[in-house]
Amino acid sequence: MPILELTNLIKDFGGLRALDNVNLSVEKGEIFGLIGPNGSGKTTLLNVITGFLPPTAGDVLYKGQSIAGLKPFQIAKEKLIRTFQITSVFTNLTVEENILHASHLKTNSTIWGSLFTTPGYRREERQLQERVTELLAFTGLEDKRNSSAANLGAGEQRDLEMAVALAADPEMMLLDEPAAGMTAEEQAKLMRLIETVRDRGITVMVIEHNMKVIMGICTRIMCLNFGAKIAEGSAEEIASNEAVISAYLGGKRGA
Amino acid sequence: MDWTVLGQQLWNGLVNGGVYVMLASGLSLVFGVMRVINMAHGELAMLGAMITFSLMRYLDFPFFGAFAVSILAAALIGLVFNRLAVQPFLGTSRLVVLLSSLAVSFILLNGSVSIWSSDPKLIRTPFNQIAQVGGVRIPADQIMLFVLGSVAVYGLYLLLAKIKLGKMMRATAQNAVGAQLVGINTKRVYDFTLIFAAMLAALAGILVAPLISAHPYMGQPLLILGFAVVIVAGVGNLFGALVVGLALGVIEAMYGQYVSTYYRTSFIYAVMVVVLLLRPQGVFGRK
Amino acid sequence: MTTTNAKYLGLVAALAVAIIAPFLLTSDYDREILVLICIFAIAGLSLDIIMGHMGQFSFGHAAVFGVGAYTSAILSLRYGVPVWWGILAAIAVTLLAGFILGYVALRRTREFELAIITFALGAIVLSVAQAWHSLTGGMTGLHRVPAPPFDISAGGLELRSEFAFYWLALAVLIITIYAIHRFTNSRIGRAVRSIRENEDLASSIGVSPTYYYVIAFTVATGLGGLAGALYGHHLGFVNAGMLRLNIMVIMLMIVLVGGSGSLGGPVLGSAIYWLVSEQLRALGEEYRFLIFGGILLASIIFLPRGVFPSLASTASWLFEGTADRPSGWSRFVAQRSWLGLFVLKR
Repeated sequence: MPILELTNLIKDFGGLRALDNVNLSVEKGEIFGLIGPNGSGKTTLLNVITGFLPPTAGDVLYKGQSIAGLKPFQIAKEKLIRTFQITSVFTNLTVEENILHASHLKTNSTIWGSLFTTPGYRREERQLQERVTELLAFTGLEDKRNSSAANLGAGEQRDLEMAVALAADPEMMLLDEPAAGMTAEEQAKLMRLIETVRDRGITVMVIEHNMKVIMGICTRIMCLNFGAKIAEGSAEEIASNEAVISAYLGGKRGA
Repeated sequence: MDWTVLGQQLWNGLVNGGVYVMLASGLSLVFGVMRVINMAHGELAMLGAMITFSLMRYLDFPFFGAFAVSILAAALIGLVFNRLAVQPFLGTSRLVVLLSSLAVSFILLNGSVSIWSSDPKLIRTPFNQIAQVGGVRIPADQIMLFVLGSVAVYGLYLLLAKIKLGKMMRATAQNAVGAQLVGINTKRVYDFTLIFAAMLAALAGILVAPLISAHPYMGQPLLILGFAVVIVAGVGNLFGALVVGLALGVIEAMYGQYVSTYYRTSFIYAVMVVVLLLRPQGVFGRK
Repeated sequence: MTTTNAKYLGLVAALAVAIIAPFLLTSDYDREILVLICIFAIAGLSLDIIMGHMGQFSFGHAAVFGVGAYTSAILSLRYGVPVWWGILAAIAVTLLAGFILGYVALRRTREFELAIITFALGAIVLSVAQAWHSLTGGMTGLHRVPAPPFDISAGGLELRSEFAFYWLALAVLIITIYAIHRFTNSRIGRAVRSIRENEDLASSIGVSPTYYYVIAFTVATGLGGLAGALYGHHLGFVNAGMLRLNIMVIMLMIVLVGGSGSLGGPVLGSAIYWLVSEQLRALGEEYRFLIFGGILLASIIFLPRGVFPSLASTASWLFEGTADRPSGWSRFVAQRSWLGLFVLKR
């Protein structure tokens, strides 16, 4: 059973059809790529899947259950975690605090526990600290532990965003243009990071413009244009697909 | 059914409503262009009235002379207020301007109490006639209120629609950064926004003072009532504010007459809360 | 001596001084100021949950304070309810009111919505308090509100009620400070902070903005009601003046001048307020409030983080002398352009 399935998904904004009968299925453990020119509806699709926008019609099935119409935090509770196109972290907190705050779903101490600093609470706090250390090592931010998130460079903020998303303990991650503006070195690091995440059993869907990244790591790729699927297949198939090439290079761009 | 009473309350309601429309225009202007709530708006209205009173009482100014000077004084006050307490904080959280304007309102309120003391002051307009229409008393100064108020509101509409400064204000309202990019001096726009808002407030204060007598605390209910119109009508629609303002004035008068006089202002506040919760963009707003 | 040790020592010393303070003062009048400082510190802390932790603004906090005062006063004065139960009832009523209001108004955490709604509701509550004679005593309010019974006589030493009330208020303040400190470092506290920092991001990691904001708001109003109830019993009367904008501005002053987002801030702010207020006692009410308005405005313009964080960072600079401190001027500029009002520190 696919972990994520979209059936005849439609999203209209007034008279504008942003998603036109999109059908998609992602298998567990894949790295699935979503490409398409600007305005083709990729981020809209992500927003609909994760509950930030309600679908107009059609269904979104996650692990076999319909999640259409749920609120974002409910979908996150199902372990479907997303990132944002504009790098989103908790700017005024330190790196460590960012990860602590993002570990909400992984913790369950009650108010009583915190009020009276019970052993359970203290144990959980220790575990959280270990988790922070582990995630910082994973994303390469160890020596920035106590820096304010606002003081990080762009690439480091992207790493932090990844750490934050991982802190929420995802089973599946949806990454919105994670490679935007990255240097070649940062891209390579990102690709390795995503593959390691996949190796840990987390399914990943990547929205990207950067073909090198997409072709490099994705098992399957889908291309959107004007909110509709125009091609789907492996990296080689997509690279040689006429419709994809003309969508990117020529013809009318999406709104 | 006592038609005279009904008619009187209808007229009273329209007059009050007219004041509310004037207040709402000033508030709406500031909120529309600068996206902040000016908590000192009521005090600006109050200052208009108090300055007029002082000029008439202590310097023997005639009504219209005092009126004119007060409006100009209000313009100056608006400018200073903007430079001191509003503009520096526009880049940060908008809630900060709420707080700084609240602090200013507090300063103006208590400053006025210490200068003028809190007992009500009478302002006499040169119009003493009272028309009688079918048993309904229509004092001439209330008619003047209507006329002057309409001129002011229409003037505002003309400004925004036709005059260059007004267009700059509208542009800034839509997109402050974009406006700067096309060369609009947003600082000057903000100055003028607050100048006009202060003048409108002062106008409302002066015109309503003969009706309710001027005193330093008069600004507070004026603020909330002006607010109520802006919320219920929705921001950015002058015609909507006109309709809603007059309607709220009439509703308030009717409620006060037929239901309970203690709670008539509270009723309007309650209406505002309900609209805010159920239809936050207001009756005429778009979102 | 390390900073942590110095901090603990400082806290213990401050606590000791606080406990024996009434003995150090000579007049009952001065002792009363201590009580007021404690009560308003509690009120300030409760408002800071909304302003500092949640990053929102509620104009209704004066109304919450007043409702707490009125509830306990009405129950104990008119219905003979024992004072302690009256105080609990005041907390319950304000908790409920806060929950309902929060549930209704915090669906979208837009900046102004809560401010406007609470402004209107505060005005309505004030109207009701002034008009509903039979319940609230109308414009005059309720007088001869009973004080809580302190029958403590330990071996012949009879404690006077000023002392007892102070220790009561101090105890409540200390518990409040501790509770908020623990709340900040709890799962709930982190969830609330994450919403304030970035609501969409918080949603995407599983935090329900409405749920947690309602919880925080409810706690804040309950605490405000407690402070109000204590105030009413301490003064011995309640009137509509407790619901007015004056109280709101005082609480704002306490939070902003003292320092929003810190535990010591509202406490320091309350102390500053009452001490300044005492010095200005000779002036009329309007002049005092005029000055307070000026202080509030000046604080917003020049010292946006408030006095306490500035003191705290000076203290840590003295004790730690961090090498990478930015220069005084750049700190000043940074403080003014990014208004640290809604930044929560530990």
